Amino acid sequence: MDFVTDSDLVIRIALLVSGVTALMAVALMANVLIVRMLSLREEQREDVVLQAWRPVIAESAEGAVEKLPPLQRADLPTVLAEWSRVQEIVRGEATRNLNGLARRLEFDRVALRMVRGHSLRNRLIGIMTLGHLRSATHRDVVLPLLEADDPRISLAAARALVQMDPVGGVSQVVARAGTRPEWPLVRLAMILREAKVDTACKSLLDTVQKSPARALPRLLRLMSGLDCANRWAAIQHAIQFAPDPDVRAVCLSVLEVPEGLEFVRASCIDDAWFVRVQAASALGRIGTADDVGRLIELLSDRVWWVRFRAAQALIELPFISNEELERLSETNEDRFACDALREALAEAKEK
Amino acid sequence: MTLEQVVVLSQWVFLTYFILITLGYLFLNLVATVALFRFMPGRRMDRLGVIPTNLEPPISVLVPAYNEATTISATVYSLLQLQYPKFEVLVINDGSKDDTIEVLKEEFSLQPFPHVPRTELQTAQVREVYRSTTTPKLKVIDKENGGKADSLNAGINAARYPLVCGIDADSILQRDSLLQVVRPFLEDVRTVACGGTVRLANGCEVRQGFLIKPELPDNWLALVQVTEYLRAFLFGRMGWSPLNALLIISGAFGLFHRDTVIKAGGYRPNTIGEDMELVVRMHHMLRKERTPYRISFVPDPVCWTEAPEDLRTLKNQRVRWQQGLCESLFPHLGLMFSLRGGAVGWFAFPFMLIFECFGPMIEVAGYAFIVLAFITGVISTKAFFVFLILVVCLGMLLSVTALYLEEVYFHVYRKPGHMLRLFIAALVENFGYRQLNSIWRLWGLLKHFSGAKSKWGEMKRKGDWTARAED
Repeated sequence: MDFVTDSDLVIRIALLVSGVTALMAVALMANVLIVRMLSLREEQREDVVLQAWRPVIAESAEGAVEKLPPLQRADLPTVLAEWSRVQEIVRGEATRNLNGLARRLEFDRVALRMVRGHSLRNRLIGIMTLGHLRSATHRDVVLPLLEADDPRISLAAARALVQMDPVGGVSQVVARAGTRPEWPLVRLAMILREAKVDTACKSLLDTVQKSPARALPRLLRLMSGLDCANRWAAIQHAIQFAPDPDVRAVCLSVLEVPEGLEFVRASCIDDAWFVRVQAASALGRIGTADDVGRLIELLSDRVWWVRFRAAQALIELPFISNEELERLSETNEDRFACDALREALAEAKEK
Repeated sequence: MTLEQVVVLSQWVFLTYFILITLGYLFLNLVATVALFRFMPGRRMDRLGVIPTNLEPPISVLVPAYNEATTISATVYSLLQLQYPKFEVLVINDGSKDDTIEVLKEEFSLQPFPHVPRTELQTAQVREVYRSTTTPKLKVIDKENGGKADSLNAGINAARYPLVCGIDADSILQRDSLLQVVRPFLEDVRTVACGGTVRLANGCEVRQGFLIKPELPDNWLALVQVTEYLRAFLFGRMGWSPLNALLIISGAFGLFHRDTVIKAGGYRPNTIGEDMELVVRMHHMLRKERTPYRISFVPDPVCWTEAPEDLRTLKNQRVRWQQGLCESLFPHLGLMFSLRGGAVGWFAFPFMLIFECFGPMIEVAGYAFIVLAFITGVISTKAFFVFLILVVCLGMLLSVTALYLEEVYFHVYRKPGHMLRLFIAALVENFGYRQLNSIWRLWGLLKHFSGAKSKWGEMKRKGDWTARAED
């Protein structure tokens, strides 16, 4: 049969591409199978190691263990990870006992080698191990890691530093807290809680007083997360040196002390609605009988959130009863104010 | 132009198209591989010693429900068990014709709540807002029918918290889904939206609304879709995310910054692809404004959903998806190659437009041309089989790369037989399934251009996890 056309070149290219892709697909398939076999073998090996070492680690948390199972170099990351996992859940004497086991097995030497290696997982296990060992000897190894670009390394280093040196480590971490936005506040708060909160709060206050305005919201939120008693001093500094509405809103959101009442009252008429929202909420926490009128005025604010927070604040304040508020919700001439009050009252009833 | 020239030219066009699309996906695969290589070791270590604190931003979970009377209670119960420090669940009953609202009222002791309607986004009329007297974090909005997008907008209006998470009423989550998907918001303050990997629940063991054990489905149509989902999420999305060019966050599970969504105008009503359209619009708006932002993706499986197991339902789904794609891309053509378009405007948008949106035209034309030319003797048997082999090999390569990522980084399907079945599915899908898919997508494209109104077809679900949830 004669064909109108077959472009030899097209067919040759199609054949070539097919061949290359088929080879690649087969190679990848083989790779998947190899990976599956290797991971199965690794899992089995890990299981064997953990079966031998898990009881030993658990037992050593209670006291010294006489005889230790053999430990291959390749199994060290598995054992260190398990040892770290147990360290996360024990406290006091058990921690010291586990560190005794670590000294006996020279975990510090192993961890230092892992920290200097290339595998991210092993580096993290190494840093974590050094942290749990709580020995200031390795501070100089961990400190430079605080500057690592990879936040996983820098955060692991931050935690290890705090564990090794609850005073010096905290000040190093806090000094960078405002300017490392890639460090989640949640993690930072958890890390700092491992040290004495007072130390962390003192360090945070010092840092607030030296930091640029852009760093203040993070630092203030962190102080709030740690429930720092010295927040007001930090807020005063922030209000004075960073008159930015974002900073004002954060200051109001973390304000818990009556000393800040004048600032809160002044903020009720701020141009930025998100500042007024926080002012209303803050009045709910620290307001006095004099603030009831102010909050009733905020019930007529043009922004729903301000009206709603004002209604919630009125309910929280002990100076006006719910019956009076219900009456107010029926008699107030402003429909929006009545709606906000009714909604907040219904919500409060169900709590 | 002679017939010979037409045939040769067509062969070149189809060959170039198939090679280009494969190269594009292989590039995404490379980006995804590098991203996963960087992401995964840290993720494993992060799980050591992480406990929720009160600094996580609270989340409003939005569940639009239309005629979901049989499944809604189980869905809500599972949502209420999510691990997260502070969240609320807002079920939006979109004028269901069945007993959805009655079931909710009875199961959760709902009482009318004097809710003040906020109209930051315009929606169909809200009839009543209820609050559960037994579970204060649950609210139900009963509104006139307006569609899924309209329901989500009503939910956004009523949401109390800065982050809103839209989910489908039939989505199966993991207890830590919210903790996973919120991570990009904690790690980068510029994050405005984040999606996670959606996987198929067919065949899996589900209890109390949560996935207990991943398994593969026995149904071949569903099995083929498992590899398809792996391709779509593991490199389709993971590839675009590091470039900040992700154009889709699945409506089945996505977390958004509420104020940014409102600023963008909320979900567009009367569209099928409301999830994608919103993300494209957010890119367009934020790029225009030069606002620094991130639209992120977490590769961990956070949501499981049921795939159709019969051809009719699958066809309806694919036609809808294609219409949704068109509805999302065409209003935002201005984003493509715009000066401030970045990776999304210069790479992701054109890629989606050429290969995903118009691709079915070329694919179906290619298949038809090769078959017709072979039957009529215009091309040789050798040429016919070479092109057939080419299509199969390219398809296989993409599927196998997705399986490779799955095996190396996630290893969700653990039995040795699982991988074998997935390989076979990756091969089998090239004989009929891919071609059918292209035809359905072309049908969706034509329906879009013909102005046919897009609407939700009936989604036939087995939903056997629901029965098990009530065990």
